[in-house]
Amino acid sequence: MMTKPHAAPVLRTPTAGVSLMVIPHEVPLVVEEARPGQTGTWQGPADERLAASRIPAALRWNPGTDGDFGLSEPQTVAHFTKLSQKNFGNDTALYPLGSCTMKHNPKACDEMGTLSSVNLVHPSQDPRTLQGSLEIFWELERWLAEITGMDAVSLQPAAGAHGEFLGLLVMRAYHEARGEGHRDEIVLPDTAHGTNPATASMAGYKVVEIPSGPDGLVDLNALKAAVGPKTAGFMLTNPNTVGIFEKNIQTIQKIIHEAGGLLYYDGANLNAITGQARPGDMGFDIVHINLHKTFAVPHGGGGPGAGPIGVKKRLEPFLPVPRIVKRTAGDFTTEGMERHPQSVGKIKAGYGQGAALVRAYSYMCMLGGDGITRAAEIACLNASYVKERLKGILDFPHPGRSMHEFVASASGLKKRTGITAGDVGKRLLDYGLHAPTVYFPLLVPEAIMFEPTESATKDELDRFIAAVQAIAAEDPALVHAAPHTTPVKRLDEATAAKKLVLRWHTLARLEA
Amino acid sequence: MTKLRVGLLVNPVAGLGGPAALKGSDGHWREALAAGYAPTAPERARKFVELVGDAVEWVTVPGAMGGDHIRSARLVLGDAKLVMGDTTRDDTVRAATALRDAKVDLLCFLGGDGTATDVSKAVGTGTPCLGVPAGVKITSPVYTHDVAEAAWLVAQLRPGFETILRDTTDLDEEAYRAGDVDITLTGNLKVPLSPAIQDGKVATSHETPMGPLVEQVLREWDTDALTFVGAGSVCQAVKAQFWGKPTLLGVDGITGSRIVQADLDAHRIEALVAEQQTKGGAVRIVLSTIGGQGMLLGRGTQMFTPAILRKVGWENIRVVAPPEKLLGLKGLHIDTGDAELDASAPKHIRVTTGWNETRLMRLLAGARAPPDANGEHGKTAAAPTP
Amino acid sequence: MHLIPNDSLEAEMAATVGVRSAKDLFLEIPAALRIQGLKLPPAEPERHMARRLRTLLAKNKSYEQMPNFLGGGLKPQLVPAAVRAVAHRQEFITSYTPYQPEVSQGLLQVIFEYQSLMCDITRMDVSNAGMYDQPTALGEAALMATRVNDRMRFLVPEHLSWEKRSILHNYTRGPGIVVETYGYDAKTGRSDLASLQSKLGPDVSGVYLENPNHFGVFEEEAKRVGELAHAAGALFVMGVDLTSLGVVAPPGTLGADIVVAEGSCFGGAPALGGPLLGTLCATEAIVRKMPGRIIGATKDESGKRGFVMTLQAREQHIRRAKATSNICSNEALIANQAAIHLTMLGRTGLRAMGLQNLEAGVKLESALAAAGFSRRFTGAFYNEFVTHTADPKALHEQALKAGVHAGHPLEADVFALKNCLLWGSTPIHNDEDYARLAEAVKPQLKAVRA
Repeated sequence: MMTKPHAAPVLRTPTAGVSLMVIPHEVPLVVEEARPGQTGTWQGPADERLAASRIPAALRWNPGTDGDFGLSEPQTVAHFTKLSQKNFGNDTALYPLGSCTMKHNPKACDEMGTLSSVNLVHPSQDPRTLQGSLEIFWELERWLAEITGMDAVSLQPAAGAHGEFLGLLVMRAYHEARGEGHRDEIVLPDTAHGTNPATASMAGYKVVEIPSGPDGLVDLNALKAAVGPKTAGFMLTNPNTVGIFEKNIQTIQKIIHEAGGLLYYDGANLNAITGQARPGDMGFDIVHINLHKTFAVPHGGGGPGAGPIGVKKRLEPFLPVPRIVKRTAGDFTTEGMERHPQSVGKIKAGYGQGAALVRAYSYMCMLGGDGITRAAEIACLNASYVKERLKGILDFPHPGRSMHEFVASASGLKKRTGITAGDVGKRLLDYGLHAPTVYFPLLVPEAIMFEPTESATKDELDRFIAAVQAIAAEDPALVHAAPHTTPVKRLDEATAAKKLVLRWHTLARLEA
Repeated sequence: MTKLRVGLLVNPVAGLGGPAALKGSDGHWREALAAGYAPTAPERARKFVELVGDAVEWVTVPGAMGGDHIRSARLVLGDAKLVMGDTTRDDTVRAATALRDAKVDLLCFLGGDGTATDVSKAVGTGTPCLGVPAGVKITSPVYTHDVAEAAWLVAQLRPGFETILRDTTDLDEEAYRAGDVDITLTGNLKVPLSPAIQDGKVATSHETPMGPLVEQVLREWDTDALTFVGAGSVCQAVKAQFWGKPTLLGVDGITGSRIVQADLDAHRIEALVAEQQTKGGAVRIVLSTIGGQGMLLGRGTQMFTPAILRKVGWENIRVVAPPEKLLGLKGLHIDTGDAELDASAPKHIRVTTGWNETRLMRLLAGARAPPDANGEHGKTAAAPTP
Repeated sequence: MHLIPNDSLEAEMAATVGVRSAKDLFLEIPAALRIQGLKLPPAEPERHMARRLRTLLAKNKSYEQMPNFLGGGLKPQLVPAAVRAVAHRQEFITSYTPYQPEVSQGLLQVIFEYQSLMCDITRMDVSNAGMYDQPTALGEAALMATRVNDRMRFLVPEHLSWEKRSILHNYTRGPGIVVETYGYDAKTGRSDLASLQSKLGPDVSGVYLENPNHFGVFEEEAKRVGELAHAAGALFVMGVDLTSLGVVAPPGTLGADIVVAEGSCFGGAPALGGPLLGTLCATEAIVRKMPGRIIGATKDESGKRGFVMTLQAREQHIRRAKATSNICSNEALIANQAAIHLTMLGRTGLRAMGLQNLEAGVKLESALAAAGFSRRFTGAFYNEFVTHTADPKALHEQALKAGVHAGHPLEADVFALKNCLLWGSTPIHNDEDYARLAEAVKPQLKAVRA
């Protein structure tokens, strides 16, 4: 049942879904609430004499309490709780951001990830004092290898882009070890995520983009024309960015491998195929896996993530250290550069995102092999269901079957009503739903990229469909001006970039 | 089945200004003629008529504006003396009006933006028209990408074909230089609904950060080579790295890090190329594309004549364009006017799109890449109809 | 399936889609590539999983079970329970990057508060929203320095952890930046300015200095290092221990252009390497060369204050290959925790934290002195220091047997310091921990029979 939200911003009638109205509309900054000398935590006595006796004169410092930012515990809790109420979480309602895999984050995983045995441990500890974590990491490596069809896994990268970076470092080390260090080009499809070219560039590679065909798939002729003796590798998601499976993947892998390059799997879309097909079987040499997408590590408002990579056997010597080794059942240790002289070394403190790894592991335990397989099926079914039901309202530029996500275009809607993809996204907020990804990929005009994941309920999907239908029929002027019910209206990003108020000390610039 | 009645109108001096670096032929063609250049329109007209053949019923005006280029056609305006070199823009208007009155199903005209504007003045939006590219500047979205494509399209049309209203536009040099508006609306024409017809020029957004792109071009700069940098705002940004008065619509030559000559015409380019190649030095050409249309060669680049392009070689052509200029394009079009040369082009070319980034683009030439079964050519099917 | 609600609605939804079952949705995948399930263990009931994992993880010896005196940064601090209770509210922890600012004002303001707090305590102009950890922030800082001045040589202390050096190497290799080291004074453990001067030149992009340094020693001449760097036209990049900034001169007062630090000391935990938080601050002059996300204040259409991601033209999703970094997911939740913890500390609490860490160092020194160990370097120290010992391995085994984790063998970082251990302590340690340490490492009078 859909309630139509009111338009007038003054009329704060509850919208369908969450009651956004209880949201505190303005929360002062900490510094605006603070009183000099206030603190919210007492950790025992502090010996003020130490400042003079232990710190060299040139480095002594006492900032005093001018402009203090301290709040008591109750004030702090209230302040940040109020802020949390101005934030839309995945538990709030449907959060169908395409390419982000906003699946439910089971609470049991939070419990595991916050254990003191997981957190109050130092990465340089003797492995004999880390047997619990090492066993979990070792097993997680094998599970991820099984899911991706790879031979060896490194858990070290902190995020997807970090995994890409490590993947390309490994790729370079491999080529160099074969005396082919001159390979300096990474080939990408024109729909690649922005991290791909940024990573390639950061790893010292040149980027060669190739166009996609009208079917949204890699143009094989262009690929053939792009690769050669300078090709280090080709980076691809599969299903690809528009949600369609690259069915010519076997030909693609042949083209790349015959040119002497390596095939890199961007795991952004792995949730579509877990237990159905494996990048390793498709011929990919390196994959990264976003544990914060596929394996339910919460996104945390933008991080932390975790981006382990998996590689084929011939690339294993180049993986970072420490490598985790199982000696016998229940006896694990680690090995460093002395045992792995070809390793690229390190790219992250310690073992990687230790606590996130435990969360992902606990999630996989609860789903089991069958559950992980099932997750992909329902994720694809959910997306296909919404796509089917939105036909007639939105356009679908690619004829093929899409999988866990789809890219629609609002260009027809725009032509008929003037309502753009961005407008639809903003107006959905009034309906108590999060917007899908809009204007990506750039190749599709007025793109709307929708990914429900397997966690969405059919009721919620129906509510989303009804909301899009309702928006398409609304007064375009109302939709252009959306959102109407959120704590703030559309924000002036140009002013933000021009006046550059990046901390509370410079807030006065906003008024200038 | 009744044949389509097709009117033919040729602006006989169209294209003359191109190799002469005159940015248009209207009012300038005498200079170009005096400099030893020849117009391209007559040759293109002959080719067009030949490719369409007898599938249609031709109607034209006598002399250089039509009759000279076709074996058998019904003539209107029979008393007019339309001799090459004597025709004016008024003659274009007069001829187009006569063809309109002859009730042609489609009026095909060879020329550029000026011609399209004149035709629009004469026929308004009544008679369906089709531009066959022969001029220097062709920003109007009433032209096909090249002659072969126009011929293909005409052969496809049946009486009662679907049409669409398009603008005719012209480059306003003054405004363009001011960096504000770069195209002026000059009229409207009704054209067949077909992907074979080019889209309007999309101006490079002034917010596009050109810096990284230019930086990349400079990183790859060969200081030993003689480099010709073409027209347009992207190329101008490149040229601005070398001197303060870069030509917006012309070609400048650069060796080492200094401009050798600015606003070059075909003769001077030819001489410089010969000189450089005699010394055993390398020659490069840096070009951009026309946003939205994807025209690489054949629009405003006629100073790079087929002979020059042959001498320089495809491998020495560098293309630069910000990614949004390439958005939605299926490839880059080349229309040098020399079918053999067009056919010798590689199938793909790398376009420098930003710092450390290139994009592979298909090269499309009429002779090699006719529209596919869906009539799709040069433009993706990205914008679907609901 | 309790985590997949539409599991039971497959038939109905498949009918809408026009397929027989969800399996049909995978028919686009070539048959040869389709697999029949995964070789993974079967699903485990939630409480069984929780119990098994707790038991397994109890094999870890955490700081609560085993007094741990490893030095080298990353030591846990005392974090109030309120931090996690608030930061882990679902609205924060289950949200994505705030791409829809109208429904993300909470997190955007939190990160703005975080940036403000970091600027306040470091006395720098700008802070980004956070990087993965301090070592990767150092890598990004080196790349940033080259973006600022186009120079290709980056100087770091010889006394730097191997981990940081390896990460720095991996970050700087791509663009071809050369990382070189300058030495330390063998007596004081401070950086050797003469050595630094000999390495400076017109091609040096930046000079990195840690205060306290990897030996735990205060770099008394930090300001002078900055002056030398600036005189050579290089940037001054400082690594600091944020917990010290209530008592130790912040980098902004010492001339730093870029600051990197481990931000998880506020509200976080080492967690075997993460999630951590790489703090990165800079002067406003070079803000556009900064990597990572940045939140700015602005107004909405009705003039109300609001927050947005700003300067996005530097970032990968806009700038692609020319982006200042490839970073996308960062450590927002940990930055959130840091902001909450710092708010609870206030200036008073931050000063107390610095004093307590100094005191932890004093207590650690006493405990080790009681067992006969003295400091290798004479320089004043914060909460870490180096001792010499004939056989670090044996000492480590001896301590471990007594249920105490000894210091970090420095040989891995600075080869010349073969027989040295790097110790560290924080207010997380109580008096019993120090007593156990003193007992655990005291010389064993009777030689163990071979």
